[in-house]
Amino acid sequence: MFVYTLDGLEIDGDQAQDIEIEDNEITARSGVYGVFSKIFTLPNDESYTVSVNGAWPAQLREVAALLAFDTDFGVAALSESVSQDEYAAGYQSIFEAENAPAAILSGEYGDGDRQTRVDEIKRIFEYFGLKASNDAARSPDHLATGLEFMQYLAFKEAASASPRLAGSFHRAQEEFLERHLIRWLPEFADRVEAVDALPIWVWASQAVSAFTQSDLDYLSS
Amino acid sequence: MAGDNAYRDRWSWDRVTFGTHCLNCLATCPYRVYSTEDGVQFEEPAAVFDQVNPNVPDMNPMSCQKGSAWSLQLTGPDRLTKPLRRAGERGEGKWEEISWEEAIEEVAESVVEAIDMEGPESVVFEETVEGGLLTQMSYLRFASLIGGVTLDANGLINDFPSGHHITFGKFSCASSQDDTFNSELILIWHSNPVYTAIPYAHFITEARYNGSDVVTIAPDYSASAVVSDEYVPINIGTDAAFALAMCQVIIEEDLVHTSFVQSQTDMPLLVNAETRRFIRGTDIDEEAPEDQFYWWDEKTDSLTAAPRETLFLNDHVPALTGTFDLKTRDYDDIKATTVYQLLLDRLEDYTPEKASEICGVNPDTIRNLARQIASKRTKIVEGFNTAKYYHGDLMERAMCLVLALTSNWGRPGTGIQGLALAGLDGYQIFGMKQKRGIQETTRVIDGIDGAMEQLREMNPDMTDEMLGYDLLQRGLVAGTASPPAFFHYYHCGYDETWNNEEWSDPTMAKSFDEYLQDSVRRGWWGGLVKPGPGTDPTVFFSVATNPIRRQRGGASGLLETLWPNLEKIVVVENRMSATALQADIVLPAAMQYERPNLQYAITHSFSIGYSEQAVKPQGDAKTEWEIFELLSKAVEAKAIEMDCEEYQDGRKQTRSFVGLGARYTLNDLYEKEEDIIDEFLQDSAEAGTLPQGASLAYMKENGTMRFSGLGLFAPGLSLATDVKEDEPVTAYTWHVDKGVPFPTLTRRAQFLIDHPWFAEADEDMVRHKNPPKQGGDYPFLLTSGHSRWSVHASSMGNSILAETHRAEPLAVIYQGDADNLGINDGDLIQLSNDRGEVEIRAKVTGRIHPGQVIVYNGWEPHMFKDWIGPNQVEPGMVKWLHLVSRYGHLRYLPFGWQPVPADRAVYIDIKKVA
Repeated sequence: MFVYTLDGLEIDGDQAQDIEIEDNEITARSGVYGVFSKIFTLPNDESYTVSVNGAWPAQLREVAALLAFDTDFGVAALSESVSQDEYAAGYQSIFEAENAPAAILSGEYGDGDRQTRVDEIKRIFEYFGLKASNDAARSPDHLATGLEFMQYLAFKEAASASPRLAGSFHRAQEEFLERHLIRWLPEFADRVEAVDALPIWVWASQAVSAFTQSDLDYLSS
Repeated sequence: MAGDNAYRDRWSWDRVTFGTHCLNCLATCPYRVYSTEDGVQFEEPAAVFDQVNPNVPDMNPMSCQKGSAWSLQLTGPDRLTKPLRRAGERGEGKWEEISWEEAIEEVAESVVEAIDMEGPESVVFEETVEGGLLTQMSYLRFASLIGGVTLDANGLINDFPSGHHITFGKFSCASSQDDTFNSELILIWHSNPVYTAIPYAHFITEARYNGSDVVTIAPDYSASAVVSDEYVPINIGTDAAFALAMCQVIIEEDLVHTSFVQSQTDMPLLVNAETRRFIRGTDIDEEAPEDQFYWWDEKTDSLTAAPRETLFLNDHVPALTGTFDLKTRDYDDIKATTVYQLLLDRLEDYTPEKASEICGVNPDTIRNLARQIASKRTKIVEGFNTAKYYHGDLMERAMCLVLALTSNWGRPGTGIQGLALAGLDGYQIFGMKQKRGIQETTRVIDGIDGAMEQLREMNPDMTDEMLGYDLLQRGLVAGTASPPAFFHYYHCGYDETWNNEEWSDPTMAKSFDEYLQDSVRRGWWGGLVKPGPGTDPTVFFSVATNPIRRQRGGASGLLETLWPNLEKIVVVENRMSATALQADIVLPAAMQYERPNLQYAITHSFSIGYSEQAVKPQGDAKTEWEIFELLSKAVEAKAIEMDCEEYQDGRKQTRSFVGLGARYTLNDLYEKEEDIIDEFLQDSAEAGTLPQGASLAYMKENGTMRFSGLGLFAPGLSLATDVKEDEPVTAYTWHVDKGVPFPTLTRRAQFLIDHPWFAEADEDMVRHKNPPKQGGDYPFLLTSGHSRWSVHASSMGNSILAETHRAEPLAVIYQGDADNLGINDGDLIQLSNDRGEVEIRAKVTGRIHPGQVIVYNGWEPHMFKDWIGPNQVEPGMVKWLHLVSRYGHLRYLPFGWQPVPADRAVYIDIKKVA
């Protein structure tokens, strides 16, 4: 049975649903986005352990079992010589610090004003029944939040009894990928590689970039 | 050099946004607006439209000189920036600036008192198509929440082509403007696109370069006639005779496209030869529906039920002519004939020679043009000028007949190029939503689908368009809209005017009042006559509109009759208009570029017009959304304070003021107007009228977006065509290519209206009638039309535009007439009739018709002596036949079928002012 979890986003109270659904190719996609979202969240005890154990690819493969398209999540592990503090500090300096070399915020990519992009993303979240959590430290344009949104949309597509609503969630995923994630993830992955980040971040950024492109091809078909 | 810097500084900016002008030109021209923190510096056409088809010119650049000079008006001398309260008598010109709190509280108190004393239908709003969707939505939402009355905009401005509605059962068959390029013959008829449709007029010249012939038919040699291949001068108001003569030629010379006429029109349907009434289902078969009609099938030589579900003939060969013996349920032997036969009889009166005596066009010209139309893809480029003639419906019915006989609709480059609404469904959906977001949108759309499905089950042979109109009808009585003719009759003193027999059609058998009372008594307008004669209008809102300038009948109707009875007149405007000058409270509204907005969705460019906020509003101006949010909350608070929290609305339903503020904003769900626009756009994508990806962000980046479909609602569906990415939109292809029936009584383009009133007027079949002598028996005919230099009054105060014309009101009169009257160019003249008089400067020309006087639309009354404008001499007569309702497709629809005032072809006299 598939359930989803949200960290950086909250469901609008009126629209909250607590539904468990059978695994299928759509929940598989949702699951992949959920795992990727955890990977790109500020490291904590649990994610550090998973990283050191090299278990992220396995987790991805497990949730992706019913995917309708082939994807290779490869192999990646964090060296035990990297402490949890170093791991978290590296995350912040590469991704989240001011003028971070591989900013993890979509608003930092492309032309134009970041706040405009943030407002746009918030509107999209709200239109689809979510709001950026006030408690979360993450900005709405944070990669982990965007991936979490994709996880949510895919789940809603799978759970919608109304074909019209399912279609809307399907198209919304296509749209969000095309207009947002894919617009900046390839550059993000290039930057991660260029700044000599830990290999696990190079792997993760390339894996998520590749997966989103494959997923868009799948959705568009 | 300092001078160099000054020049460069003039053209420097910090920010570029997309803007458009939500005016009643209803264009959707995308502009780039360049601004600094000091304000908007300038704007320029953005030219962001994609080419739809490589063989058809694109829409770029859509613009005109009004739009390109708009930014001057943000800080113009007539700009309103502070709430104002009248400090003298109404119209005296004395004002005091007050705070928003004071202004809103005063208005709120008036609203609560009016509702408490007279009921909510005493609070009346003039509808408008000025100001864009955010403007309209704001006052309509407030009016709806309190149960007020909104006077249907088209009954006020009279942009309703009633002849199209009579024929097709819907507003218009307008295609997108680029479809004009596909025409082989373009008739500029009752329009002047070179003046009034500047952004699109290029399609006419481009079509001409492509080999099309362009013919202008008009009394005056207009600016559009200049770019035509042929000019057909015609006597004023005689177009029906001219068109019918062309029909006579087409039939006489065997040029009729017979199968088109048989399938698309009611011409083969049988009528009782004696009564001229259609043979109906109930005449033939007890079980048959009333609206089953019949033809005589020549293949089987028998009476046959005409298919209700399709226009395709299939194996039928319906007779167009002849007389047939029928046995009906009541009579053993009646003579039946066809509508086409009635037409043939009618056309005997309209040979080219006979018609020439009426319309003044040479018979050879009539014949030549008729032959051209019959052999070419022909489009009539028509504005809303015919709509403003008393017998404009006859002119339009005759135009439609010309097109019907020659298969000129539903194919590229054909039809009538007026204007029709496109479907921005998100706007309609918004009003039905109780929550924000996709789930609620889906609930609303599923609800609409469900209601349509229910109707479909009950009426399996009805089209989606017909069902959509039915659905619309069901919601009307519970809504706020009212055809304003009744308001004007009962509350504005028009009873005296419209009952003036000398100004009316001499064929009327009874007085206007008898017809009106009869129509009300029969329940034809049940639930729509509001405020009724027993309710005094008490508070009057004019939001982004200007009735004192526009109202036919001039100042007399409103100022002398309505105004004294009103407790409060509230004007929400961005500039000091003629109506604002006569108000009690004036609330300053934000202008284009100062607020986010969407233009109305129409067929011209078939694209969204989006306007971003570039700068803050001048002074204390606010958007209408903000103003009515404040008012909603203030009304609620005032009602609680005055201890009158509950009241009954016009339908005797109990309403409460408590929670009004929250209901207006859906509990503050929408923090900013941009959120609402985003919701409109995303919901429109969900409904299928915009492509996926439609959003505010998209519009900010791209400035425009082409519609992708017709949507869920009847106004959009009325275009009846598939929207294709790579083709101009051609209206009515479903009717022609798919055989989808029309939403008329007979389900066909209908040329016989067998209603007893129409029969009594001898207008059951189209004919010509001279304009009635509205205004009195005088030698000159006043016409009007839109000027080149303003959109109504909106640009009259623009200093740059003022330099492009004489910057004062003028009446164009014919050189010969001027010579006879001793009038020179620039002289002050008086135009007068039994209705009133106005003084104006003469512009003498040889390019207009002898006996014609043109006063272009848009001058503010306060630009004239004693603030009396040209509308003072316009009686604004209403054609009594338009009181007919509950006859098939002749029933009220918002913006559609209803009695509307006429202001063209008013009889006047001219004299030079000493």
